[in-house]
Amino acid sequence: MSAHQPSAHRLEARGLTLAYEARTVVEGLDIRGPDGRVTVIVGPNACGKSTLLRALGRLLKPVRGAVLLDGEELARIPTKRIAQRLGLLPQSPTAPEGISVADLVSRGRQPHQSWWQQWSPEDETAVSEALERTSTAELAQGTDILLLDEPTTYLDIAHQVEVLDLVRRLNVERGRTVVAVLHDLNQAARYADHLVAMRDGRVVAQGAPGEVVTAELVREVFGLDSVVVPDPVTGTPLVVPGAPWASTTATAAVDA
Amino acid sequence: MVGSTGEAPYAAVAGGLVAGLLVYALAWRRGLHAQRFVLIGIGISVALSSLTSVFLTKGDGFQAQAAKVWMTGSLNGSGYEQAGRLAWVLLAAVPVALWAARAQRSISFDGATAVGLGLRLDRIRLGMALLGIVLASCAAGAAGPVDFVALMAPQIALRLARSAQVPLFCSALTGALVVVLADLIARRLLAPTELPVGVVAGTVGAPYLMWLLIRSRRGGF
Repeated sequence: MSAHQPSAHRLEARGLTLAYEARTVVEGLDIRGPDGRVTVIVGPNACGKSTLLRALGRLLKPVRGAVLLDGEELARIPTKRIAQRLGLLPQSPTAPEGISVADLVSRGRQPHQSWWQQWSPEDETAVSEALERTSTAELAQGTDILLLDEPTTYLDIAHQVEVLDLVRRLNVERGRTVVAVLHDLNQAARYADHLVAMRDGRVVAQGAPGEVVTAELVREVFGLDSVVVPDPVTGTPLVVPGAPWASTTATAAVDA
Repeated sequence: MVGSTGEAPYAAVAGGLVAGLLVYALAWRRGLHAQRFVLIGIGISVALSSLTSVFLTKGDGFQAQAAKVWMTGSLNGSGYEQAGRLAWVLLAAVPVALWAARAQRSISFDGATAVGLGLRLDRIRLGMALLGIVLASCAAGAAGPVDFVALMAPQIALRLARSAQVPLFCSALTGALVVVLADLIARRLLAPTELPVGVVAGTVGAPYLMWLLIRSRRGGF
């Protein structure tokens, strides 16, 4: 990567090409997570959205291009210094069995600890903060930038809302920048400031959900016929899929 | 193979390092994957034990007999000379083990979370593997490969201490206790005939571990 212009954003990727072995998943992609905003990436299965998030979180080395954190290439920053600024919640995180919440939180504080000073007053704050909310090591890490890979997977609807509301609160009250991959288009439209729609490893559209989410986009990205109406609660776009499958005789009966 | 027992520890460490690094190199494919690492480890282990069988059947009968006793694991005739040599190894290994115990706190998450928390996962794994190889090889060099102790002791310690991760010193003490108890039984059970400790260690430890496993499933602590 040659010398790059100073970046206006804390996290961005330029000319990113990502591949597993010989299979290229993402090619020549430019993306940025606007500061202090919630960016949500959506797209069909295997469109490269999780792969992109892995690259943003330095779990995957780009074949070409670079991810820039505060204008500096990720590959050039020591991993512990990245961990002080950028937190990462993988798709299916596992923690050791029988671990206590305080222990889990203290492990999340690791990027801020050194071998001679393993516990500080800030850690204390992080513990109480995490205890009163959904407690995860990633939250305790207390980074300005959070990457979340489908944080609502395997959760029932009430917990899904709880997690997404927490993400919103962290964003509004603490000014955290969030980049998340979500499966549910309607949740994405509700919680995102900036929506990125991907298909086949490229960005199809991005912008405010109200402008981006249309019936045409849903057809182009997911190949699905739908009606887009305003969400009765938030006014954001609500995607209602077309009529469910019915047998021809049943349809004929309805028509008659 | 064990022509003179004085050379056995050095040969064991060298052999252990070669075998361990071979497994590492074969399992490495743009990073380390636990499953591939374990499978290749099993493969190399089977290949090497076949090689040992070749030596035992083709080699000189008297030497082969001595090797067989060593291979079941035996403390017979061991004294402070061996203990002294091991103490030097421990002097170097204990600080590394303390580091490993702390690193273990974070790598007991999934790999992605560990990297997210700023850990250099590959370096930590390599360090832990080297530590394990050196410690296991030294122990095997001193007393022969007493099967199952390394697998069993931390698991027993984990359940006794009821902690979320393997406790370092508790594991070391449990391992020592299992070996000493097994040796006591081995020497007294069929006295005056003395069995090699390796025969008994598994027989004593394994049922205890199984009992702990069954109890923890029922009790669910």
